[in-house]
Amino acid sequence: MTIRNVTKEYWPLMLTGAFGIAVFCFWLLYRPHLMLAREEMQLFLWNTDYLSERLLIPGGLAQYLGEFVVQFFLNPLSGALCYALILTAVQLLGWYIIDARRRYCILSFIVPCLLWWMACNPDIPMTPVIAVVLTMALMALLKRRTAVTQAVLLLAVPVGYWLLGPAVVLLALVPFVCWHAKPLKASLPMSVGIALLTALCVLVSSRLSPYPLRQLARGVDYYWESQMHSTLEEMRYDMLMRTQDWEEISALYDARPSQSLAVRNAVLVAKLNRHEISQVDVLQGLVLSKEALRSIASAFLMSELSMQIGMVNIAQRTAFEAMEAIPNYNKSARALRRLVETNIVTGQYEVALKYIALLEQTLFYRDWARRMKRMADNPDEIKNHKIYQQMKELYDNGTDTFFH
Amino acid sequence: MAQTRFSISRLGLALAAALLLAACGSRPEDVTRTDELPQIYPDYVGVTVPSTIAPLNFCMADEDVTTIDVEVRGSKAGQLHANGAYADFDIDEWHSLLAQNRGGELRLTVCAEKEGRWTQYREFAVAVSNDDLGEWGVTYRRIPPSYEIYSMMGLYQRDLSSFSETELLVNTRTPDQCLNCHTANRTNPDQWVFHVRGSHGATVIQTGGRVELLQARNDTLGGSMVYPYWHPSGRYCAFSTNKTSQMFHTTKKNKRIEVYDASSDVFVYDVERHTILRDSLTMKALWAENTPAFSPDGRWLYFTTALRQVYPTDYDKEMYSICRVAFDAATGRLGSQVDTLVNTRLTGKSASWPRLSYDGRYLMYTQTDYGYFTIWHPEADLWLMDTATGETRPMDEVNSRRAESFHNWSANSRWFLFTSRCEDGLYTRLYFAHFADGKAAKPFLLPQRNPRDYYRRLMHSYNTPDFTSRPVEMDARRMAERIESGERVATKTE
Repeated sequence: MTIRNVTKEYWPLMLTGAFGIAVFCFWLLYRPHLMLAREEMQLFLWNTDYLSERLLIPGGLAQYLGEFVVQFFLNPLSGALCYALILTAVQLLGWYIIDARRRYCILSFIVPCLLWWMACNPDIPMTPVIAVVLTMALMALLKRRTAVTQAVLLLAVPVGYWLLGPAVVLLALVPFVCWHAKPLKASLPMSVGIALLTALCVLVSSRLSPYPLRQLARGVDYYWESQMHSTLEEMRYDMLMRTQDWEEISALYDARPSQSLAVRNAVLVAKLNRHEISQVDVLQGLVLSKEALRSIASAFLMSELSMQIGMVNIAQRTAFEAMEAIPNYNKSARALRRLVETNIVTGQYEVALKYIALLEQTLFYRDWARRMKRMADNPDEIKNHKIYQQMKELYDNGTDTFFH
Repeated sequence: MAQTRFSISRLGLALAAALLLAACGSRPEDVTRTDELPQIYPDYVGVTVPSTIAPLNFCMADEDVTTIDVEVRGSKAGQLHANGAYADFDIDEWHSLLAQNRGGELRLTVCAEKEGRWTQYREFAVAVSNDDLGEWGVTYRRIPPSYEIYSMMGLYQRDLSSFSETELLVNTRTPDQCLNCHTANRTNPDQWVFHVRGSHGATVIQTGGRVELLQARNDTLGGSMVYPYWHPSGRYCAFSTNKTSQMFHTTKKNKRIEVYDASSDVFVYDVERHTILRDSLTMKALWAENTPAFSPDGRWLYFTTALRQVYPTDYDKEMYSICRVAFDAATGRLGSQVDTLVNTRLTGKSASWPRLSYDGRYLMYTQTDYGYFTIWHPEADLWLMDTATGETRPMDEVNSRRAESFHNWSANSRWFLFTSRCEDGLYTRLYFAHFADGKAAKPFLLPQRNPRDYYRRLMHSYNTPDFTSRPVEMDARRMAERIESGERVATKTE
């Protein structure tokens, strides 16, 4: 078989593969900071309470599974792989659902491209993406029209609504897309019925869950309304600050100066670490006011840079503010990690232990938390930690002033 | 067939027995006895409880303990047993035991298994008071101990005879709104007030069977109605109005935040006439009046006042004294003379949150080195004044090295509650104590089914708690809709 024949025979699958690789490369190379920014806005705990708390709200399962996936974003490589697998699966599902002939397989890329676009929007969490994926999986299961699948379809709307949220309204497309009903108007009552049933579910859920109707109709965790929108620029600087890539921070700023006060502060710290300016210059140039905390990413950035220069109380405050600003009321593993550090440095060991106990229930912070537990239980061990000991000395011997 | 059924039922029984055993944990054997008291969490050793309190479930403070076995014997009658990772008492059996031993005590024997070895500790007692609590439960706000930005918070009520907590109003229903102190009139849930801060701000008042949403801000007053306290008649409610700011310490040991008022005043609100009654005695220029409270007979208005300072330089010089002025409920007017009861010039400290016991005999307040936002002051302690003699003393029975703060009395004045950060220095928890003959018994933490797990996972502080004699009836959904609407009652000033 020649390459031409292989291409002719398998081009749809090759297209799928190319799509997956493109998704993977995009996230790994162009948007790793967005994945990190998503990860820092949650605290995924491996316990039943965490699951049950989410199952109490409409769309809770989709949120839970979305957060399950997002915890892997801590490592951009595994995060990019997650996106590639999910979006490729959506494309294959779509292809299966529309039962298209090969020449129409290109249509099956519409939904994954739409989800890709959604994933690039920092205000849209992972929840609607997962909800759409699972709704499509449900559509695939109901592909054949039988009496049973028709009954299941109706039952799937309320159950699906509670588990996945308003994305189940897509089930209204089943008669058209899956069953290829002809004439089309014969399927209309079924589709309208599903849409109305979804609307009824939204109405009923407003009596059962503590959210306003407009938020339930939109999906409780489908869109984040926040006054602290993070920009991609701030996310990128934050990532560079986490990795202490001082050269890249300076180069980025030199190429394109920023209006963000947090970014400007980060550049000062980068220059300090490159020995281009003195500590006095940094202290004179730093802006510590609330204006520097205009977004969640800038608050995390401020926390990171404050730790770099030993301002532990500012690092603590900004990490706490970042966590409290998370629009869906999640807590943040990254913020808790920082708070463990600041509370250990400032001698508030019981508070550190409280946060450590939570981080011990996470997948990727567990080992670090266990190491820190030893330190919180035996504060003398701080002396053996060069950075914390330096910060502690600064904290213990510094002159107290106020910041706002 | 019959044989098969028999086998299946036997198998089922065996499985059930195995499950039961597994659920119960292991039983003490080869027990080593020690004369030490058990270190348990929460520390219920030697506390005094009302006979209607929820089970005092507890675990060993040592997290390496895998199983505890607890025998509870009543000094008068009855006994109870619990075995497992923590002592989880059956709620009905617990209440039955408390009822049988009212006026007596429960004696608890704790055995703990650690690394396969059992240790039996010295027996300890929990006194069951003869004094009724006289309250159904408590109301409180739950809020993260945050700086400026707040996420999920809410007003809740909790049945003190069980572990049931229900929402009064959570701000997920009213996004971006801050819900402030829910305050009832002498623990009566028919009359309450709370404040909403944010773009849909309001002062929500329920009285006489109707709920009103007042304008959040009165322009003549120049601010909103912040810290409330009801007049016993129910016609008036005293408020402070505060222009609050905060600043953050860089390296102050154990202190993060200093909350202060750029200005504050105290006034009385006439509920019937929707009128703010102002008086220059509690609205003096250069002075910051704050934290008002009526006496139980309604004849006095207590408040705190401090000479305003320059911030941030003199932040630690703002010290509040406790004063009172006569109040005439017939006219709604204040008297002409202010008495100073706790004078900062004499104490060198700052006193705030005066709360008289409902029998009028004692005045409880919080004392700090400076300021009035006591929860961020580790040195904050509860103090008590005997109103008959004027003598004051620190309440060492309940104070810790960390902040003790907001407090309130039960309607019969035999119990009080307060918030404390004694556990970890940051997350405020709710404590209760019996009070008799001018002395408080050892306080106990608000019981939870699995206390360690609950309090460890809880990322909220308990805030502005109070007793409630019955459950508060509030339709949270309807209330949220009204808050989101523009419906507001205007207030007048006099």
